[in-house]
Amino acid sequence: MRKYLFSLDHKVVGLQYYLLALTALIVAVSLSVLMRLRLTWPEDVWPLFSKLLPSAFNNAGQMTPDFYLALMTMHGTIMIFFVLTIAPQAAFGNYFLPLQIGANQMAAPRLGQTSFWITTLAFCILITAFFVAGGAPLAGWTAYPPLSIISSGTGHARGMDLWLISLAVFSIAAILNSLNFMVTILEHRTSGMQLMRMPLTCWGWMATAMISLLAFPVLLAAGLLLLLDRLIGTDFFTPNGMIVNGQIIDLRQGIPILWQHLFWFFGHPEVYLAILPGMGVVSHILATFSRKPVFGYRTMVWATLAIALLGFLVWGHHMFVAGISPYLSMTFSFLTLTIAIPSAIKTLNWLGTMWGGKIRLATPMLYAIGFVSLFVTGGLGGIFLGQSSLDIYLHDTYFVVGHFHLIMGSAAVFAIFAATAFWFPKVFGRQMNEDLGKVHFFLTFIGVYAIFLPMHFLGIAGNPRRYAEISQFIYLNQLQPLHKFITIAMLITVNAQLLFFINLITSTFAGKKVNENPWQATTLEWTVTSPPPKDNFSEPPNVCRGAYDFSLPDAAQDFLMQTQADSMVAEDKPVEPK
Amino acid sequence: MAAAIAILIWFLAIVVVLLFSAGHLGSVNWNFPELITNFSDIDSQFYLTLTITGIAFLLSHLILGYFIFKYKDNNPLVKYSKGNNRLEVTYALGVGIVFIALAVMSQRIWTKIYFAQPTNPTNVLQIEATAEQFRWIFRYSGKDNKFGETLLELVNKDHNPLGLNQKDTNSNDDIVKLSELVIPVDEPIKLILRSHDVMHSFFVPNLRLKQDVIPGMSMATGFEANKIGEYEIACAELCGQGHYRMRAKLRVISKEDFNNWLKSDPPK
Repeated sequence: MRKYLFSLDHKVVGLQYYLLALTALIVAVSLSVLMRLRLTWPEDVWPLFSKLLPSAFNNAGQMTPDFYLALMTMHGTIMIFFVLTIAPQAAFGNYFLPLQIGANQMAAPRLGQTSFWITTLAFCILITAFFVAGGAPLAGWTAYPPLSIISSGTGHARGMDLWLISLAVFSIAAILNSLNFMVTILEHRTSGMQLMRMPLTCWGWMATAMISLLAFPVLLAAGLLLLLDRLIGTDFFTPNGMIVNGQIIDLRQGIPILWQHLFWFFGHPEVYLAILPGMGVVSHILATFSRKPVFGYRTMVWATLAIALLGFLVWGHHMFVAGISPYLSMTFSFLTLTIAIPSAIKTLNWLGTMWGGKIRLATPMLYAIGFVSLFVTGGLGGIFLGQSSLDIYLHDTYFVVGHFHLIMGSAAVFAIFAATAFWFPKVFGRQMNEDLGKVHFFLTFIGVYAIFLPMHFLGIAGNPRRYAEISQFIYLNQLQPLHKFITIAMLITVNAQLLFFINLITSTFAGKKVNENPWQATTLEWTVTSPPPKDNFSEPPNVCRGAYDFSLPDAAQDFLMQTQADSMVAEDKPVEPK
Repeated sequence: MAAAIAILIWFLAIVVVLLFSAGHLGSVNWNFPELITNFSDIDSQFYLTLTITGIAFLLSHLILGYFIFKYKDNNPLVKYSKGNNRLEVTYALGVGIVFIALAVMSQRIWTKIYFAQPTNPTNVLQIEATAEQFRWIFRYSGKDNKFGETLLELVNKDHNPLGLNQKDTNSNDDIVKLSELVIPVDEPIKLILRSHDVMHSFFVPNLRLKQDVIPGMSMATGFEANKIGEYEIACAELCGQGHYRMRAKLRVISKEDFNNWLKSDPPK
């Protein structure tokens, strides 16, 4: 019990987080499958599912529109919070941050373990929402009031309360976790590990910890206020003059748009939180598998911090047509487009890292290349949406859905795949199966493009998002073939993920055994045995160089560990064994 | 392996560009819905952005594929390069100028939409649109050009959907239409948006127009349709289970027909 469930070892905590994220991923993707089925074939009956969850089906056995919206809400919430927030940051971060900076543990091991269990509790609370009277909430992951304030009827009852409580609990864990990360990075680096020698993964975690610490308290506060509106009738967000279920709600003074400000002040940094660790890990992998130093390491660090900072200044671009001042929209639009600059610099540096290298196309590298492609494609969609004038038309259409699924959905998940394949040998001393990995990469890479690219076309054609079906509008009917195509592409891609899970499970027990540094990488985690000993380093390592000294002209090997002193490099220089 | 991935990435890049161009050329059904206003700035800005991002997309993918192909594992001479500050700065400036130029152009359109005053404000036809779960209710002020008072207490879904107070003399000639907005062609319209319950969003794809409707506030938006015909109005902000069927018809008719329609009692 103590050893596994409540262990203070940061590596166990990391694995626990990873398993929680995988569980959440399976749940969230299953929900999206049901969603697409309902959207594409609204008339069809699903006898098997309707027995499992009768309340979600009407008398004819079809999925109800309420259930569609509940699926959508829960899919979004689970993906964003319990997969994309915890997998890149808490899972990989907890496991590899101390190893990469030469620490024996996180700054606050007990805090790390506690945040994991708080997060798990939050997840359980959220899932419970499906099974209470009224079912899961239907207000979307953004939960705009007053829709989210209505407290009776399907999708409005206890499920909504549980949703809010779950996010509040989650926020507490995220805040604790980010403190732990920041203190560890600032205080527990080994000798010689200057900030500018840290692997870019650590910079990614640093940036996300800073973001979490500033953003999650806002969500926590806003969530509690909304809960008060629901439970004891305060009017933070409840506007004056509504008729809900035939009842007049009068004499209130709340401002629903205030929620949007608070939510997106959290929400926009949140989406960067999902991608920044991915950027770090991809930079790391591109350098390792191109056998070259990261192109423009310093600019990468500054670009990461710039993106983190700008992330707090652009929340209004979710609200261009929400009735905020048009002057405010102009400011937000302008600031939003400036994010293109650090993002473009990152892309240049990724390409620059590969340029002139010696590229090994092992699976982690494939996923990293996939990430770069998806990041570019998804990012360019942002150039449209960031322009307030274009957003008038594109806002709340499938263009937005396609955009964010490419960049913070697919790209971030590709970074998780890349990190999994890359660090698997360190965790288990075995490698994941390369052939399975490659097939999985090809299917998934083509698959996500086939799913999310056509969504941009739906958006251009004016298909609003969050519609349970498109049959009610003449101009949307012609888009049905495109919706069908997306659903079929999705079913294939989802099934292809079985390859990943099979690979993960079989490789754990029967993967090819490898030495402690199979990728010939340079950072500290590769200096210890695989799996790493309980206390990581028997004596604190001494770092002599930056994280990416690959192919140094006069060196004997094409990589120099961070612990290798300059004097040792010259000594074992000559005799090329090739 | 390297060749396979390079080809995949190139192939993908070309397919994506072709698909978007197909939309642009209008030969497929995923193009913009027909534009029914003379204000075509949003469309042209979209295509300009599409061209610029298309070039960026194509270039980055061609380079990505080329590098994978060129620098495969047997490259004996690895360039030891930690970066190139001059390149980074030049590139950042270049990217910055292009995207900021786009932003400025977009802002010009935005100001046209939000700050342009109609040349003859008396000419503007005022219509009120009230959103409720899950329908649109439109109201015309009638001959007196004044909207009568509405009271929430009087709202009755079937007989008095807006809660018009009949004691108010201004109310007598107000015209209320369910789920159909009738407007004259070539005339500026001012739409006052209200909500009875949750948030909604007034979305007319053919006009490239969208404005959220917020309960407790009244919002205004302006537009002008220049093409006679029947179009659709959708709700673009999640408003509950019936969101997907919150549809209204937009009927653009000639000025003559419109005046006749206003006179006919009750208007059809």
